[in-house]
Amino acid sequence: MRRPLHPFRRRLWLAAGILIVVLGAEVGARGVAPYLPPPARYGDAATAVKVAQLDRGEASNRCTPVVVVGNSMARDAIDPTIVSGELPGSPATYNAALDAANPALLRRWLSDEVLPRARPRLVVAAVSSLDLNGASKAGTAALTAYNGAPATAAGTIGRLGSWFDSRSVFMQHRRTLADATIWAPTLEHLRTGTPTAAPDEDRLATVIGPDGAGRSRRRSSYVPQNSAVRAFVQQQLLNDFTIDATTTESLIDLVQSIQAHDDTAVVLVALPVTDEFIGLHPRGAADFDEYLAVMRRVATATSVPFVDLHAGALPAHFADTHHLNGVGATALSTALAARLRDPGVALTEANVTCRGR
Amino acid sequence: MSIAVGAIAVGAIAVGITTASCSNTAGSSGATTTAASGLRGTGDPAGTSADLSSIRRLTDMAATLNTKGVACALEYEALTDEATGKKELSLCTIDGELATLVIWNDPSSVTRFVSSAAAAGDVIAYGQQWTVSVADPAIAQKVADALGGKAPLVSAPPRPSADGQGAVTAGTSGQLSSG
Repeated sequence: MRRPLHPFRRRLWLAAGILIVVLGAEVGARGVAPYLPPPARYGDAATAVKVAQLDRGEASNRCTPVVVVGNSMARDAIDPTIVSGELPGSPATYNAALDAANPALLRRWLSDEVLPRARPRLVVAAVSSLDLNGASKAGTAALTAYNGAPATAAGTIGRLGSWFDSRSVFMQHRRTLADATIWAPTLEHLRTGTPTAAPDEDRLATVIGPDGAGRSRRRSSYVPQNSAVRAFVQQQLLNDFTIDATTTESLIDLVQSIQAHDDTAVVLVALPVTDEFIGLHPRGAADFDEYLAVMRRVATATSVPFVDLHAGALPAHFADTHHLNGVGATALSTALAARLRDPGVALTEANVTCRGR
Repeated sequence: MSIAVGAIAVGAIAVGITTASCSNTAGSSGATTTAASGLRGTGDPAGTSADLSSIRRLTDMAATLNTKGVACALEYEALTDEATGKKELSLCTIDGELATLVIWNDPSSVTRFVSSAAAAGDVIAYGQQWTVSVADPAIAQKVADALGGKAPLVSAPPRPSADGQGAVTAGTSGQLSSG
């Protein structure tokens, strides 16, 4: 008859068994990972693409003195190649704008992902009226997705999970591995030896260029009174339009957090919109004027320049009510660079040279 | 030895629980587009009840479009609007034109949406629980063909364009005409 194990040794065996299973799962996941669909580690595919682009720049020790942030309007409106070419010394410029990114999301995105990788000297923050709408469904959904994504989860537990996620291939692929429908194609890829995972930075090549700028609306033309666009803007972006103290504070917090990172300079920008877009705010121009007033107040409170480019664009410059097309992006980027050279901003070659790494 | 085997079993169960709990958010259905019965009682404005495809996730819809050569990269991926019956909502640009993609909670919501769109002269493609709204009927037809849905022909009033010219709309005969 075998003697029962001492409780301590029993626990030791149990721990060893769990360790074997965990290590086995990790080794197995690493072996099969190239044949699985890319894991959804970020809130959306665009975020994953931009992280991959920033990683590539960091890995190649590329210097990026100027970074643009904002929502999809900024992504489509500001062409880094044109801005760079128009600025003294042609500093490398990257467009880090994300869909529906409000100041609260940009605060986390910049602090955790963009600034440590790009180490810019100047951040051009293009903030739109919809970004300051505390009730925006799109803004809320984007922030919720960002804060809940494995790689960018918020809170202590979330950050702990993100730490594991960044180091364990099994953790990254755990959702995919639990989805039985992917196993047949995965086994086929394994059998033929053809990896499935495309590099992240190439996944949205039709939407995001290698410099982070938008591509999908380059050829689009503005069709006024498009009911689908109007419904989306009214129901998802400008719904229940409210600029409250919390929203204003989050914009101030965004600017100050950038300034606190190696004294990075900030310029606030208002992007062009159509009259139709202004009219889609619940109170029309009154809401839009309130947004402009908040932008001016925040710029004064944080001692940063405010470049107001909301007016003057031609209808032919727009892809829809609030996104610029390729023609509009060229005009806006040229105008923005000119304003950055103005005495009010006084961007010189000296203040956009690379930081040492 | 039996304890070691037991420990491994416990570990495996723990890993299983981890993956199973995660799968709730990942979802597992909707990877393929399957033809199903028609949209019953839709008040189909085109007056037919052909089989319509069933697509339950926007990522599947975009994947199917891309596979069929209709480039569509989703934007605003995380949107939902339960108040209006929209389970998933997103945008993509198809042939340079903005398309609004919606997965609805149930086919009756699609019925109502299709009816109101038809009444308003809006251009859409639709299936059992999905709709795609665009401005150009040719793109709607392209989407419907790719996804196995329908794009009812509408006599839409000419849409004003930015340069003052009317946009292309579909005529009742099914031939595209410049509006």
